[in-house]
Amino acid sequence: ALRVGFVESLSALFSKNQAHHLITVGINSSGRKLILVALTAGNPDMTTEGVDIDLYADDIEQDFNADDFAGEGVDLYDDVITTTSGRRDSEGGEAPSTDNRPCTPNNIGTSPVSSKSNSAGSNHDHGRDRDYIQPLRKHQVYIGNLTWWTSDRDIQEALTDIGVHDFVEVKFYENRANGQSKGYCVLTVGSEASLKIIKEKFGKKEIHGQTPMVTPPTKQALNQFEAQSKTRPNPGPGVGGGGGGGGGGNMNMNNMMGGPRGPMGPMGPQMGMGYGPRMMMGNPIRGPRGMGPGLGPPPHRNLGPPNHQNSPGGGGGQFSPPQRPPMGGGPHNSLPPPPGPPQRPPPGMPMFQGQGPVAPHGMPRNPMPHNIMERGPPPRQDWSRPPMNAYPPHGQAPIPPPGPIPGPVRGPQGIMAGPPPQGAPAPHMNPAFFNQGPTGPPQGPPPTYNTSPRTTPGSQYPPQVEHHESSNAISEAEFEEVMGRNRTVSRSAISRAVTDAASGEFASAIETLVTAISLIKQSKVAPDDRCKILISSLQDTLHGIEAKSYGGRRERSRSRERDRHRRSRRERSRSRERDYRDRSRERYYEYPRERSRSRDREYRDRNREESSSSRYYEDRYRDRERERERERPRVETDRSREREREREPDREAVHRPPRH
Amino acid sequence: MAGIVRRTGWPSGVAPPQSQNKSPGKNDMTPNSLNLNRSIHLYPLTNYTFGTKEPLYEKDPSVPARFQRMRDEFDKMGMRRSVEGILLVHEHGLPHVLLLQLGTTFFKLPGGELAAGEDEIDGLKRLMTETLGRQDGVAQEWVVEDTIGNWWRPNFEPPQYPYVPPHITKPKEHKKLFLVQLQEKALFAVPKNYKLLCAGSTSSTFEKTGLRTDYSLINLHCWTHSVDFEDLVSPKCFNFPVG
Repeated sequence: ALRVGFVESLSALFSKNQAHHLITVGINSSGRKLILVALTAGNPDMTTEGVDIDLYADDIEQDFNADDFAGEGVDLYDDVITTTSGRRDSEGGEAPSTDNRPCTPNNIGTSPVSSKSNSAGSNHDHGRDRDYIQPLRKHQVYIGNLTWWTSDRDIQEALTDIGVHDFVEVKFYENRANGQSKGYCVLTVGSEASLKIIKEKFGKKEIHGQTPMVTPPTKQALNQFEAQSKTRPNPGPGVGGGGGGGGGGNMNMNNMMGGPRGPMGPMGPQMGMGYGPRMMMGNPIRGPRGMGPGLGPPPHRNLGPPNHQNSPGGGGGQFSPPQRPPMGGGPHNSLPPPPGPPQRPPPGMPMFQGQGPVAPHGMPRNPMPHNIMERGPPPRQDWSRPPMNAYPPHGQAPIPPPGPIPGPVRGPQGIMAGPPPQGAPAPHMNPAFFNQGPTGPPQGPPPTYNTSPRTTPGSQYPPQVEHHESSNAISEAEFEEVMGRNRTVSRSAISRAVTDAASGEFASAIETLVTAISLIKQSKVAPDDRCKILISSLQDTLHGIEAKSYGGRRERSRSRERDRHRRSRRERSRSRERDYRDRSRERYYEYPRERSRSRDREYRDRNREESSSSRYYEDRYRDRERERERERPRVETDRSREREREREPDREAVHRPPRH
Repeated sequence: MAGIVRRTGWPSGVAPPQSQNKSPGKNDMTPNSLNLNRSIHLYPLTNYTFGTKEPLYEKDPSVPARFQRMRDEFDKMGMRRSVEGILLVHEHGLPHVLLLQLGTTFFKLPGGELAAGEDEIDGLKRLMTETLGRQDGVAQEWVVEDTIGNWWRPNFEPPQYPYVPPHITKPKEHKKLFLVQLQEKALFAVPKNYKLLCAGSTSSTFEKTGLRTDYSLINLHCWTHSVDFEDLVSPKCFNFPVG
C-alpha cells in the first residue's frame, strides 16, 4: 500500500500534466526494496521517462501468491483493489491525492455500510467514465451461504427469477491463493426497491441446492461469512490444505481476505493504499478473530493455533508455539475461560478481540506477544498488562471489549488491542496485578484478577464508549472501525517491518513503519489513547530497526549512538521495571524472551555491532550470555532474564549501572 | 523436407534426428511420436546481440488507471486477451528466460495485449517486434509453436490463476504464454526504458520477477522435451523428467 499510495500521487500528477519534482516509491514486492525515484521537472516525456514505477507489482505479487502459500504474498493493496472494485466509482476516487486518502475511504467505507441512498443505478456507467469519482451510495447487500461453484451468472438468473432486473454487479470474495470463491459475495443492484425484493425473496431461492443467506452489507455479516467459509468441510484452500504450514498459510491468507475485508472493507482503500503488500502480515493473526462475536469457540480454537503457527508475519509464527507450553494449559484454552467477555463486546467491535481471551490467561500471555514486537516491546510490555489491570484504576481508559475470539493468536494484535490506557498510565502498573503475580502461577492471578475487572469494566464500558463518542464525534461503530483499522495497520506494519528487517531490508521496513505511524496519526481516532499506543509501538519498532540498520551498515561510529539510545531505552524500561520490582513479570518475560531470542538470533547474525554494545552491558554484568542477545530489546530481555536468574543481588547490580 | 533439419522450431515432417529413437524402424509421423521426443535447441546468450531503441512506454501511468482502462475496455470489447513470449537461451548449460525489466522492480515478459479480433500468434509476433524487434529493416522471424501456459484474471484485480475459478463466468483477462524458439543468432533492439535480463531458474532475479509460476510451467512443458545446448564445450542433451 505504501507503493500504491505513492503511485496514486504519481498518477494524480500525470493527470494534471504538470511538471513537478516528485519522489515516488517503488517496492520490489518480493525483495521489499524501496526505490526512490525523482521525477524532474521540465521533462516533456514526463509520463514515464525516468520514472521507476512498479506499475505491475500487483501482478508480481499475485504470481507469487499463486504458489507462495505460506508467504507474505498477500497484499493488502490487492485486497483494497478487491474491495474497491466492488465499488467501481471509488476505485478512481482513491487516485487523486494522498491527502484524500484518509477521507475518501471513510466515504467508501460508509457507502456499503450505510443504507442505500437514492442514487439511481447510474453508478455503473458513469463511474467508469471518470477516473476520479467520488464514491456513490450503492445499493448493496451481502449474499452468503453459497457453494463455491455458484457463479455470477447463477446470481443473475436468480435475480431475474424473483423479479429484479437492475442487476449491476456481483463481486465474490475469494481465496487469494487459488481464486476459489468463499461462498459469499456483495451484490450491487440499481435500486432500493430491488434490494427489498432481494431481501424478501432471495433467501427462499435455492441455488445449487443451498439456500443463500441475504444480509445487509455490514462488517459483522462479513465476518460471519468468513467464519462460515472457514468451517465448511469443503473449502479446500484453508482447511487441511497442504499440510500444516501450507494449510495454515493458506488459511491465513483466506482469513485475511475475509477478515480485513470485514473491518477494512469500508476503510479498505485508505489502509490498503497505505500498505499494500505490507499489511497482510498481521492479518492472518487477525483472521480468526475477524470471525467476530457470535461464532462458536470451536472454529476459533481450531484456527487460532494453526493460524498462529503459520503466520507468515515476521514474529508471529515463531514465538507462539514455544510459548504456549510454558504458559501452561491455560492460555491455550482461551476459549472456555472467557465466558464473560464474549457477551460483553458489542457486535460492532470485532477489533478488540484480543482482549478477552488474552486477559484471563493473558497475564502471561501479554508479555509474550508483546515481545514479538521486537524493538518496541520490552518497554511497552506494560501496556499489555494494563488492559486487564487498569480498568479499575484508570477509569477513563476505554475498555476494549474482550473479544470472544481465540486468544492464542495474539501476536502484535494482542498488544494493539491490549493497551487502551494511554502511555501515561502505562508505566503505572496496577498494583493489584503485581500483587497477585508473584504469588501464584501465571494463570492463577489472572483469572481471579480478571474476573473482577471484567465485571467492573462491564459497567464502565458503556461510559467509556460514550466518552469516546462524544469526544470524537463519530459513531461508535465508525470509531471502532477506524480503531480496528489502525490496529491492523500497526500490526501488519510491524510484522512486515520485522520480516523486512530480518531479511535485511531495513529501508523498506522503516518506510513501512513510518507510513503506518503517519496513517494512524492522520486517522480520525488518532487522539485516542489506543492509537497513541499503536503509534508508540510503531515508533519503538522503528527505532529498533533503525538502530539495527545503522548498526549493520556503519561500524563503530553508530555503536555509541546505539548504546546511548539503548541506554536511554534501558533506563526507561529499567525505571519502569524497577518500580514494579516484579519477579513474576520476569517470569512472563522469560517465555517471550526465549521466543524472541531465537528470532533475534536470526536477525542478529549480521550485527556485530549488537554484540559490541552487548559487551557494553556485559562489562557490567559478566557471565551473561549476552553475546546471543545482542539486541536492544534483548538488552531489556537480558536484564530481565538476569534478574530472574539471580534475583535480588543482580537486581541491585542491574539497577546501578544505568544510573550513572 | 526430409533431410533438411531446421535448427529452430520443431522438426516438421522429419523424424527428430538427435532425439533418442524409441523404435528405430518406426518413421511414421504420427503426432505422438513427433511430440514425445522433440528437442528444443537453445543457444548461448552470447549468440545474441542486443541493441537499443526508443523507449516503449506503458499504456497506463498507474495501477488504478490500469484497472480502469481494463474495465472500460471490458465493456467495449469483452475479455482482454494478452499474449507473452518466453524466449529461451542458455548460459553454461542452464536455460534462461529473457525478461524485460522496467524500472527496478517491475519485470515482464515480452508481449502485450491483442487487438480486437487479432490472431494470437500474429499478435504475439507483432508485439514482440514492437518490443524487441530489430530496427535495421531486416525482417525478424519469430518462431512460435508452443503454448506454455494460460492465466486468467477473474476480477479487475491483480490475482491471476492458471484456470478460471468456477464461480467466474466472465474472466476479465486471459493471458497466454508461448514458447518462442530463437534462431541460432539474432539481433534484438531493447527499448531504452527497459533492461533486458536473462534469468535462470535458480537466479534470485527470477524469483523476484514473480515468474516462478510461469517458469514452472515452462518446466512442465519445455523440459519434458530434451534440450540441446549449442556451443557447449561438451555438447549435452538434457532430458528432464516430465513435470
